[in-house]
Amino acid sequence: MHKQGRTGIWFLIFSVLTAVLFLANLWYGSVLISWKDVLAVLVGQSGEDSVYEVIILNYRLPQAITALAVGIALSVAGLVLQTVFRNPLAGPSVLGISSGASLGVAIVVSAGSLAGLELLNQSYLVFDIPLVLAAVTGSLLVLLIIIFVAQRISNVVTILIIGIMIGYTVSAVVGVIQFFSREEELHAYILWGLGSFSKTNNAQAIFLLVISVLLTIVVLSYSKGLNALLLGTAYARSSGINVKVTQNMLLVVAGLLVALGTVFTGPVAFVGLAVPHLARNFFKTSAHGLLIPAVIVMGASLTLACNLAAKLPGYDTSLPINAVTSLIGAPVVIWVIVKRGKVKKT
Amino acid sequence: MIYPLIKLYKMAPQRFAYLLLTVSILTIFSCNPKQNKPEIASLFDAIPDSLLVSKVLYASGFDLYEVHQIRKLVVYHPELPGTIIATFYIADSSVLTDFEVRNAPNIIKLNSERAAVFSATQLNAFDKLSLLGHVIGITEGEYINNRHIKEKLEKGEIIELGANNHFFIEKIMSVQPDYIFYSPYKFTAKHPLKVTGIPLIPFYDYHENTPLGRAEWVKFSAAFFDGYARADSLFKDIERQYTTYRSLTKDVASKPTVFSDKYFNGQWYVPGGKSYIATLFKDAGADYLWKDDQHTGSFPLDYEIVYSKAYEADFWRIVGSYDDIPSYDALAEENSLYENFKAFKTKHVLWCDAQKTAYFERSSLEPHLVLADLIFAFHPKVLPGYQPKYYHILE
Repeated sequence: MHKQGRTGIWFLIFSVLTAVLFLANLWYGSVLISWKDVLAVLVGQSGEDSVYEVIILNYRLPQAITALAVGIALSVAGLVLQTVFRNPLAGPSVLGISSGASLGVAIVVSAGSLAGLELLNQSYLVFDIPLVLAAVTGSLLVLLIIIFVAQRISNVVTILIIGIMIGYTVSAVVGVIQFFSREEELHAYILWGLGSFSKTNNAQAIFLLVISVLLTIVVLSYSKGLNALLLGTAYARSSGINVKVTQNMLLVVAGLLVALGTVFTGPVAFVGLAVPHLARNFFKTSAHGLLIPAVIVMGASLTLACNLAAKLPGYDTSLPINAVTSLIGAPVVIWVIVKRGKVKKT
Repeated sequence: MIYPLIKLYKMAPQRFAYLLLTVSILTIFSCNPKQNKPEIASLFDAIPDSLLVSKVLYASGFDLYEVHQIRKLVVYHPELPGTIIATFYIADSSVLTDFEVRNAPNIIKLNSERAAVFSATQLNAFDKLSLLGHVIGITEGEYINNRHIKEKLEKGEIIELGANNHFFIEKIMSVQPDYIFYSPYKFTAKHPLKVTGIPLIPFYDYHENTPLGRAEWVKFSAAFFDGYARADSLFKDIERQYTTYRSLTKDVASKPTVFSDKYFNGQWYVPGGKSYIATLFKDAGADYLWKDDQHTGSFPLDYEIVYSKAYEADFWRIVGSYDDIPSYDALAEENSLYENFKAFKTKHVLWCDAQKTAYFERSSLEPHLVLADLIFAFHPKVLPGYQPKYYHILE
């Protein structure tokens, strides 16, 4: 009873935090806009001066929605990967899945120059199908290799190491492609790699959010299977679950989530790895029926907070989001681990 | 090889010391032969500063002096004005026989037949000065628009010595140009070309933030060859036309506001208030929105900062990159945020097609035409019937 109450409180706190941070993202930016003006724009009474309306509705709103969607997508994907591989170090960037998406993007960018297209140069890729397809294909390919290996080698550490090695190999291929790229392509790719939530318009951001939520619902429907997998494949099998199908289905969904989160914003580091740990720490549970909603609210508040932190106060420009998530994410994870270590000792 | 080393090791310490001393003395003498010829630098040092007048009037990146048929070329650090990073002495080989030239890579023989030129703008200057016959190597041949250079590349009279930002070091060493005009992105003492041992001559025209200063670098290239007078008259002509055009906007009644460039991957790189294009805007009688800024190059800003300042600006200047399709529809498709600017709504986008006009290659030696294009856009009545070359208002 007591535990459930605490879980409920944490869930409430992080839900409210997500909402507050979402509004803060609309309010705070390089251009100072008062609360009243933000509210006026949101209720559609901004009047004559449409400058604020454009800034809030066309620039800050898609950014906030994208941050929200990416936070959900990467956190849920990270949780699924950690459970399926039964490894706390599994995550989109660790297993090379983000690198797979990056490879897809790099190939399209340099192939684009061959075909006379300038894909990344256009900051607003209106459902840029080749780019999305390439990122999804890249990340799913890496996942397929990992699944293939996982079916033959049961040792999770070995699988993890192989994942890391695939990540290095894919990064090396990306490096070679970059070496032969033109200067402007290189610049485009580097900027893409630094990450930014401000490259989507409202339609894309909402598309991203809807797909992320739909895929999360798919994951939620597998929460019993995830719980069973956490206790080992033998246990899962004995409880009547088709282990192979469940595993593969979950990994494909995770791969799609990572690819979607990556293609519009660039590879966002740390969120997928860190958020499941934070969620387990705060919610003190390993039941996926609770953990999935928990990573949703925590992941969303983390990316929204990072997007706020990226807008440096007093400066007219923003930091790359990838740097901010790592700068905030790494100390948080270390703090959590150290704190948990202390608790265990006493 | 090992045997003498063992012998040395076994030698008594005193005798070893004598041996070292003898070797050192011999080395010192062999490197310091009797100096019976004067050094070129001392020739210039002897002349008082007041008598040494530079031929350079506008450019801040170099100075050029000439004494007794010897040219002294001083190159300054592109970011630290006045800090000398290199000095070259250029003279005909008949003049050089009177001077000490050994161990002096900064003494250059006039009229080399084997120069490597790694900057597209400088190659354009070579073409204008009819000096292409002196060039044996270039880089990034794929992006060169100049017909003459392309022909020479195909015939093999000019060789590509680098591409995609990488130098073909071994090829450069096998071709052995007399010197390399290079154009590093940033000044660094440890440039990858250093390893070739070939004299490197930095060419920093793009760091000049005034149009006449940038055009004056034509004198820099010409200083290495006989036809200097041609560069001098070419520049005088540019200067005359530029100042004539500039004087047209002195008395314009109103100055339209203008902003520049596009959003790119989350950042809007805005040209600084002391930049090349800011000078052109001013001279063309426009009011550049960031004119009070102190940057000489571009700097990144958030979209919302640019929008809040420029949403009512009269003109929007864009230099399209290689594969851009210039149209309002394409702009709107690239980024729906663009549609909110007044300059977009009133169809006042001032576009330069970088590929068709070879803007990056040629415009630095035609600043008067760039200026006239801008004046024609901002104040069409001042230049009735003018045909723009680089910039036109997007229809």
